[in-house]
Amino acid sequence: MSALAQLTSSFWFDLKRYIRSPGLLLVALAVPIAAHYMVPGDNASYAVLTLNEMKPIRSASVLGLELGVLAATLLTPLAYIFLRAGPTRHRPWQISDVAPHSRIMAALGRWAADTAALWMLLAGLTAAGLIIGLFRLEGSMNIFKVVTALWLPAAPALAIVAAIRLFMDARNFTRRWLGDVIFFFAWVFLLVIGLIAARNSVTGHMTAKPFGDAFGFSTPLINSIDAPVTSITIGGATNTSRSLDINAWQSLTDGVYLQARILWLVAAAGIAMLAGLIWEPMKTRKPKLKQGEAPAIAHTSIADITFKAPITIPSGTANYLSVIISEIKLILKNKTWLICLVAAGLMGALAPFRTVAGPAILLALIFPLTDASSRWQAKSTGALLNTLGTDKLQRTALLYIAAAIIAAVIILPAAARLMITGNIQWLPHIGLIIFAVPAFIVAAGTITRSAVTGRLIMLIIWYIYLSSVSF
Amino acid sequence: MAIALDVENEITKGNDMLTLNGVTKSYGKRDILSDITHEFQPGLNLLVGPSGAGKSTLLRLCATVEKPSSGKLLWHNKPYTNVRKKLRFELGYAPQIVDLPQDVTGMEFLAHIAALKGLEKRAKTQAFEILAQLGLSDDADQQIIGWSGGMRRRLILAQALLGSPKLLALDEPTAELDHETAARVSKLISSAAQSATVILTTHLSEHFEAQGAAVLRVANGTLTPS
Repeated sequence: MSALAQLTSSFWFDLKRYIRSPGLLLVALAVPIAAHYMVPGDNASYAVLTLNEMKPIRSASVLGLELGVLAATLLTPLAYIFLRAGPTRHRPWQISDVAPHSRIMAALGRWAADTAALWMLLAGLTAAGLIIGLFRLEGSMNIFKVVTALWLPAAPALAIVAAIRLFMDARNFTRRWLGDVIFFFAWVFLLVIGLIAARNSVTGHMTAKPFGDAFGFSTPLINSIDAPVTSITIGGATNTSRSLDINAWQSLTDGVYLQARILWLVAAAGIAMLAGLIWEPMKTRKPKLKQGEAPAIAHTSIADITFKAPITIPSGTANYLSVIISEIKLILKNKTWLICLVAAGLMGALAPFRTVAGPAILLALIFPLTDASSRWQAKSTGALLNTLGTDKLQRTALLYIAAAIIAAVIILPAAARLMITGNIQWLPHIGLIIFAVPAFIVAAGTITRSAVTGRLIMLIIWYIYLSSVSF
Repeated sequence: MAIALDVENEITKGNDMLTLNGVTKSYGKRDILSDITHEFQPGLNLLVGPSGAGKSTLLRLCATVEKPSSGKLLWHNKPYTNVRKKLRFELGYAPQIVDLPQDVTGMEFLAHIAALKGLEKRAKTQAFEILAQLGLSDDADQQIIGWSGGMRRRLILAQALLGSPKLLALDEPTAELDHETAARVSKLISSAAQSATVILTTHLSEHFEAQGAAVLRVANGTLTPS
């Protein structure tokens, strides 16, 4: 098979899986709904972006750019979750990892399919943007400008996300939770690097660096006015009555910016090819049998085999307490997570809550709880468990109770310290960590049947929580 | 070696009857099972037939995984819709494929299943004995990720046997097993059939036919005694 045939085969195999999955349709529907709320009208309390603390007048290209900012900031983690936990997460690796094909071409094909799926979501956002534009534009509608201003920053940004996801899938050690953590930091880095690189530390003015602007929104903003740019706020900026006429179209069609966007697209393809180059066959982590670990009980000989049913086992009633205890044991079985939980719990007794102990406890809870949230969620496992006496709703509730108990025990020293020191203003945070965090994680794991969604969103929440207080 | 346990070996045949009354199961416009009426007797009931004939579908119906498109299933002459909750405490189901959680050990898996089945603590002793009878005792405390396909297959059977199931629906419990292990499995299932209604599919039908199993042929959407 030629290299091109391998690439196209890999591409179509994954793309068809995306197209046939309801997941793509669901996300494609969710994105325009989110856009409706994230591109506010004039009277809203917030703005998507401000430049020098002024709101750009919403021309067609500014609307496109606003949507591009949304895609680069909010759609990128959603895109990663969709790819990592979505329809193509299960691959026939037992066959493909030993097949005599080019790993690089296969990776490139997968990246192209992932990117195509994400661009379908972007198409949904584009359609929504055009409808929003009919009601919220401050100038005349220009479809070409809206589409171009949205796709120039966002399309390469999503291709980069697809490439990073593939890179995280390339090695065994990043195929699990560590890959999600690395993506999270890479995402934060790519988000802010364009703004950080642009700022002159002496003057405080910003100079566009299109080749350092991976997500592609800072360059057209900085270049859109003749006056020096001193501040850019994206996402949830406070609305202001002060407005600014910017020439976003001119900066978007600047030759250097266009070159940079193409270069980032090529770089994404390069990362995908690199993922193929370093691709490591899937390795199951076969644990080593330790001396004396095997139980003393011996095999029964065939002649002695008889089914014996215990006489005292009652049937017909669920044993909720046993299920909760079993879930707690399973959540705490990973020694690394257990040590982290205990350390974070002890920190609660010694360190300030809002700056140190609270974030530490939250972080320590994320990994074991997200693991637990997806442990029994495979479709075939769910079908089996549904035939047992405890139904799915009960199982979910019992897992939530188990997770909340662990959160409560871990946070107890911190709560005691807050009570003793009189810092009761942080008690609502304790309540959120005990009740809301497990609820969110268990719900995310149950709905998506994967740990990735809960883990990544919780990491983002954790980072916001950590960053939203000054030391 | 027999293991002394505080257990009772129920050898009297039960009166647990499963009845299919005009059961049809369709996926889209395709009828997989068509108007089946049959009474499964306590003991071994062996489903045979070509691949894709609907054997697994029939087992899923019996195991409450799916509902029939029309017709009724009755347990002790009561419709499944009325006794589903209670039946699930008396049911042992071993599907062909289960994505077992990789990070738990065999014993942890069985302990969790026992909890979900509402079994009391001594089910752990029973779990150990079932594992020993299935030749899995050495690996009971190993994570499932290191288990072979045959070992996983036996673990799926072990969870079905936990407790005192009165209805066992077993889909290819002897697949992927060597001759000796298959003999172990078939002996244990035959033993369990002395106190339960067992419905199973297997490619090793001679093992069970020798134990006096009722052989039923599933083909073209129908179920006929063979």
